[in-house]
Amino acid sequence: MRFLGLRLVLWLFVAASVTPHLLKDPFHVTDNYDEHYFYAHDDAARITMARYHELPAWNPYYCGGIPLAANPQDESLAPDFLLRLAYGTGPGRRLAVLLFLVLGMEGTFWVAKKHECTTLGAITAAAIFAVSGRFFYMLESGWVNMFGFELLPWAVLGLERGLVSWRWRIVGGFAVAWMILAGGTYTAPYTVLVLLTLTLYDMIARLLRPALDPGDGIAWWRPFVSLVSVGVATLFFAAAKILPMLRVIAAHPRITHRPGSNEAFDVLATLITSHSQDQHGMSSESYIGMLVVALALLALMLRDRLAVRFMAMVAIFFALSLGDQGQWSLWSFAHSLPVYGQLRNPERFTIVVGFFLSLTAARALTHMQDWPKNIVHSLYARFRAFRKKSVPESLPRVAGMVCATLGVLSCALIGYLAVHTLVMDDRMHEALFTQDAPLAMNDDFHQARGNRWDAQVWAPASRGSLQCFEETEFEQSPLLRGDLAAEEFPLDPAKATVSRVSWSPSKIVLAVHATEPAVVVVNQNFSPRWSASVGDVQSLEGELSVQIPAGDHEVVLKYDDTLFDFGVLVSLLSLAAAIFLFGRWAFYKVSASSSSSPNVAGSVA
Amino acid sequence: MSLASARQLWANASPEKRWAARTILEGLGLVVALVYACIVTYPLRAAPAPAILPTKPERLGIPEPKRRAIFAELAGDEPRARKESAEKFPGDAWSIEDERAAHERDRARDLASTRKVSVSDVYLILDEGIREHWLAPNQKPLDATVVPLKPRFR
Repeated sequence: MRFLGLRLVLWLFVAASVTPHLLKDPFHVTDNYDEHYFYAHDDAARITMARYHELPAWNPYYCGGIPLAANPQDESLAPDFLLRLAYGTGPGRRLAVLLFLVLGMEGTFWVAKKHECTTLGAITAAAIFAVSGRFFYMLESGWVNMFGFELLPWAVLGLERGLVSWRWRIVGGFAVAWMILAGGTYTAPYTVLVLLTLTLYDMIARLLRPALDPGDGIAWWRPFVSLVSVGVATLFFAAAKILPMLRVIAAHPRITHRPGSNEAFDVLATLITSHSQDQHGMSSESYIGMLVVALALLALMLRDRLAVRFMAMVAIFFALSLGDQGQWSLWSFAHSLPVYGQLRNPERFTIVVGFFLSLTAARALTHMQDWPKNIVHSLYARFRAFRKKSVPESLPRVAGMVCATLGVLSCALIGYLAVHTLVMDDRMHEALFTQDAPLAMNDDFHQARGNRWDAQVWAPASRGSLQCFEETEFEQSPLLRGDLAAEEFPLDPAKATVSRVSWSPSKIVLAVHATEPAVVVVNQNFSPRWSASVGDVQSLEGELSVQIPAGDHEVVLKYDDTLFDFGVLVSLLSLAAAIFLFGRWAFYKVSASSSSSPNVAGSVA
Repeated sequence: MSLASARQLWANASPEKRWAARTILEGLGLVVALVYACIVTYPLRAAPAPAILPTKPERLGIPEPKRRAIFAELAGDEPRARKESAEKFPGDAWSIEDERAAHERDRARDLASTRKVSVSDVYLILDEGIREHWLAPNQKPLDATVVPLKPRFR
């Protein structure tokens, strides 16, 4: 697609305009404890990788030690995490948000263009979806992992263009894998549901409803093949996360309560009420604007075939966002599926509703762009007929150009107004990052009593916060303490002495002098994936400990997750294979386009 | 050059030249986008990281009497916080602990503001006091353990 550079400039401009506070004080954090939670986990992973050069397998900085990459909400394996590694946790998180916004706009633009929208309509849809209220709400809450929803259009493109192209299936798989790697506890399952629904719709439309068949000559079962291919690609790309995470969520299901239900009017209010109009504090969470909803309804009234498809998705996901409406509700069905039973907050489906509404609005704008020309032509034809003159097929050239310009300008104005209402919503301009930057301290690691409400404080100061909160109920030993003189110590000081030789999150080296068999305790949680070079690792009421024989030993304690290591290997090999395949394709394409010139062909002949 | 002659020139150009021109223009567009991205993100990329907290000669750069005073203020609040938390979540040990921590957060932020130190300083002073078994105003050290993770279902 042409003019990529220009579009990127436009997307960056929009992203920077809607979130001016995002570009200031990059080390500060918001007041929200979720932001502190994610910042703390990101920082733990960054320190593990950048300072200790280890894979982010174990997080000793939280709860006394819990799995890191296998934690469903962890973001450390996502491609955007490279920005945290390069620029630090705070700036990296902000840059990741900008990256997601740009990707969201570009992806929505591609989807809209694929569905025959004008450039203006596609730009409008892109801006509306990417800056809708739900994303701003995520920014307030520090849910950078939820910005994976900006990859939704790429997943949809992967499915739709994947009908005829294996490369797009890989792109779709990569998009969904990115969501999973970015800790997408909601983004990935919701996206899978979107892909599944679109596949079913497309198969049924091709089979049963000729009026809705796009007429592209593609067999009815091809969407299913595309869906499965995207799914397989996802599994390969995200193996590093999926394999260890499945073990974690099987052993410790995410804590969830009954999902609750929402009134239809309340859900509608979250879509059309701006923050400045919001009297209740919560009803503007998914703000997309009345104008967009009106445009979408207009497209439906125009009996636009593509708008019908999009609005069917709007209806389905709106119904899902109503939550538990009884045993026959869509949510209840979704909640009965594996993984989906661990989700709550059905109102988050409004982000999918917003995506399809913005595309439907783009369809309306596409029609409206031709209206001035059609209206004037109709009047002109009637006038000519009245004068008993022949009716031309088109307007005179100048009149046609004026009408086309009028169409573009009026649509640009409507698109601008639709985006403007989102951009000018007052909370976009409130200061967000108001709390002190967490400060680093070069000190030996030790556990502190800590405080999860300001979780961002501990890891950079080489401390672990024992007081913690996780939606996954990891085991935490009651023996952990925040006041020990040494983090590794003999259970019976009369039997042994222990000193730390070196420490890193996944490897602790100890010098042990034991006069008789002794137990060495490490002030961290036990996990069966810890092993020791000397003696046997065991759980002491959930605390990590090693049974050591008598003598002088250098004991190396290592956290080794074979499943995680295997997953990392699979993911890296999949990535390398994809790069190779795309590289080969690009090479052949460039060669073909440069040799397809008639001159070159002639000279060869 | 008029628009018409430019169009004519483009139409007469060989496909090879058109391809090359398009590639160059697209490349230039990408360079412009890259430069713009660098400009937009400069405040994020160039912001200096906060200074590292000193451990010597004065821990955190704050004199010990001031650190002890901050600890005393935080520790002095804890019995009341525990009592209020227990009233709010009767019988739910983890939630009581969590609510106490929420009280501690509020107090830590107040203290950071009134004592002109950072939030990190306040928490690290609390950590130091717990580790060194400094006495709270009620002449007892603070509890160094926490209730194991058991989040409530609401």
